[in-house]
Amino acid sequence: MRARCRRLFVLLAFVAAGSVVTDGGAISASESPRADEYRVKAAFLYNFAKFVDWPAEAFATPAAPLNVCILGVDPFGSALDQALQGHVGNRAIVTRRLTEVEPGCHLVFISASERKRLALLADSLRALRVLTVSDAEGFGGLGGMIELFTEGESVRFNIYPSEVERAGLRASARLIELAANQKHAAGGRR
Amino acid sequence: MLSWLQGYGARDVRRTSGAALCVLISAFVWAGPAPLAAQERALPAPEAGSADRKDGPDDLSGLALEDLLNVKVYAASKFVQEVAQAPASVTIVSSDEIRRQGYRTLADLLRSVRGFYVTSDRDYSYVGVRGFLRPGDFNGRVLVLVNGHRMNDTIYEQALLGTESPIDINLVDRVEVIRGPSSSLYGTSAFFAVVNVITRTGRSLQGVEVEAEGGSQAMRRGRVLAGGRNARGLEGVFAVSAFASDGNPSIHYPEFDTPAGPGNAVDADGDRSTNLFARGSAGHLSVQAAFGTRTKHVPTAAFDTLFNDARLMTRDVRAFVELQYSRRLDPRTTVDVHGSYDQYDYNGEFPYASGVFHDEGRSAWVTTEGSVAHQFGRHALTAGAEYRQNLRQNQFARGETGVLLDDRRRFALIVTPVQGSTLKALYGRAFRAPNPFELYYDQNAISAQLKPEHINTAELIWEQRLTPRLQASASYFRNRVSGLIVQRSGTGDTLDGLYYVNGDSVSASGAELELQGELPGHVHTRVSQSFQAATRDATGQATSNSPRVLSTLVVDAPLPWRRTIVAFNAYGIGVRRGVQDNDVPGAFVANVSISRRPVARGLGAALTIYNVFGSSYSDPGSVEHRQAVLPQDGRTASVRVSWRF
Repeated sequence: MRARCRRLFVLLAFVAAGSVVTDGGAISASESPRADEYRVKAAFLYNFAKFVDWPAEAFATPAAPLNVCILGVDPFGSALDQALQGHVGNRAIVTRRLTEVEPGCHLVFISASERKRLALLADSLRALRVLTVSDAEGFGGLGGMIELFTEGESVRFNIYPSEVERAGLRASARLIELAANQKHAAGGRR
Repeated sequence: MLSWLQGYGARDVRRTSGAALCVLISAFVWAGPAPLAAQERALPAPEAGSADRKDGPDDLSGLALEDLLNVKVYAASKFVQEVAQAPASVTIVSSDEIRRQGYRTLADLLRSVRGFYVTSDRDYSYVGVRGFLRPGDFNGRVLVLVNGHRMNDTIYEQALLGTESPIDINLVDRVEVIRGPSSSLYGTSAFFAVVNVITRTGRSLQGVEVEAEGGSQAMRRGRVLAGGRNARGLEGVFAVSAFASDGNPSIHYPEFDTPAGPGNAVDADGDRSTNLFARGSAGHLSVQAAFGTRTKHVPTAAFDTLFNDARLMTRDVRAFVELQYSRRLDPRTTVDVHGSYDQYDYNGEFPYASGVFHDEGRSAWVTTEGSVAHQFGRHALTAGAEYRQNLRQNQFARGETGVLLDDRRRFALIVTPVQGSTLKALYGRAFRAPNPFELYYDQNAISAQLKPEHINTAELIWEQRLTPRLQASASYFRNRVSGLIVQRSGTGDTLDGLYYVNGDSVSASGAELELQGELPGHVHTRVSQSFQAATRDATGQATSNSPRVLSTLVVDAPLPWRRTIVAFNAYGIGVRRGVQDNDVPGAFVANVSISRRPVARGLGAALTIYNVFGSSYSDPGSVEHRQAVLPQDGRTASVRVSWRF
């Protein structure tokens, strides 16, 4: 009995070693560099700011900055400020870190530290005409507008256009089309 | 600045004779922080780990959205974000860590948690928390939940942690370990800690995973895990696993040496288990069901049974099915209704010269529970009711319990002097009623007079965020248990000479240091050091099975080869006093793994060497053992191969 199992062990070890060698060798040619998850998520925030239109009255002046706020414990660090150095149209982007909902933000990223009150935050921020983004699981089902998540080794997002519209914002068709939860609908139309 | 204050109290009345009814209304007051002046910053100092310019494309924001979707990422742990506001000392262990470190059971996982230690008597695994682990305690002071469902049974209140657990570790998405009494939220058993196990979801699985494992001691295991979610929101997970091991082929117990030869227990350590789990949800309705059976041969000749007799064995069967309706009426109000059926059967075969003694425990119970939660600002109010009906509660002896009245409280004061620093002051009080096993198993007048034991806990924690994903913490705690229920031996009146009494007051105080999170180079780590002393208040004497020092180290790092990760974990435990007034030497045990996982589909493989340095170490024997110490396994290895499609 024991001898048989020792043979099984050796066989498994062999298979394991083989899989690492063959698979690793085959794919390494097409290997792309990898980035930190939150650097990529910060870049997504920049794109969301670019592909969503706010009504003119959301800004004091035509050149007023676009405020991107992080609510709760900040997972980005300096990666956020680096990603949001640019402009959207002729507006500069200003980043702020908050612990509570405050007026003046255009886009709020809700940290996973606030996961116990996601629905409440999604609701009150929507009333303030703010684009809400979070990577806390289930944010979409709780009234959020954009939920970021990782699938395998890539960052994906779900968008909920009806929630975006309820806040009086407009997401571009291109943004909607690239969302993971909209792909089937887009494919059906073609 | 005063950040928030929380306090809630609960009072519940319980009748355990046949039916249990408890009404629980808990107010959960949560005063929000006076909004910090929004900190407008241009650029904080670059932080290690968060923006390591060396890895990955330099200017990600210059990429088109389509390209951004294809960038490969190193996943970050959400630990620091998630524990910041918790009104308790919390440790979170993720499925990534479980797989990378090769934890085989919940017991393996808990060994890596700050302030926890696990002993094994080659039958069950027992968890100690902050210096408390009493002989004769079947983990009744630690509550284990699976997706919110209580796993401790109604006779022994036992939490099944080793191979006896009905939940296969591969199914776990994350484990939240919450220290301190939380019985106002969760009911009895939440005395020292709550271990909240959350399983993987269909959404995160989206496919089938098949795994085969083989290893030392003729260990073999097979697992199938399937899950998915369709466009209409129907979600499901199904898992089945089977495990068998011959165990340690020969264990030497010097206590059983005879002139005829050494006391070797040969081929008496076999272990076999089968687990099933299913979970599904559609709309507001969800259902989960689990079944686990485990048969263990016990080589220790516990309870003065015949030595080296493989007939000494225990069999545990744990099953439950739970139906839940959960609906958010508006963003502030949630309604939850649960109904569940639970069953736990235990069988033991104890060989004596006069024949095999059969021991058994049968329990089945139905629980219905409803609650409404309403949030206003940062305050939340929860009101609920629970009804538990014991359908069957038979053990070797049966009996009736009276009416119990509970008084439990918990307060937390959380202060954020500057951003990144959190100071928490926690106070908790709870009491645990003796369970039916402690009261009636021994069928004697002493045990039947047991009264509840009380705990008072106080803790001061300082948490410091070093980078967005690295946190250091230091804590000082003091736990005092009065009327601690302890097992004693030495009366001829009971079946096995053992009985339970309310012992003296015992106090444990100590300090813990921990560093947890991500270091530059995508290295994940959790390092802790705890010092504690548990003593009897009356005599100042140290209690048994209570190490003064505990150390844990968990670390993993990616290797240059694609998606291959090397992982290392170790724990150190100081000298403990055994129940025979002996010293159980300290130990340092380390495990190392190398693993490779497919991104979404394909072949994965892992190799783990347990006790890699082959250190010889022992756990203390309990009152039912003739052995003062029980030697544990030396170096063993296992190989896992998995296929995802």
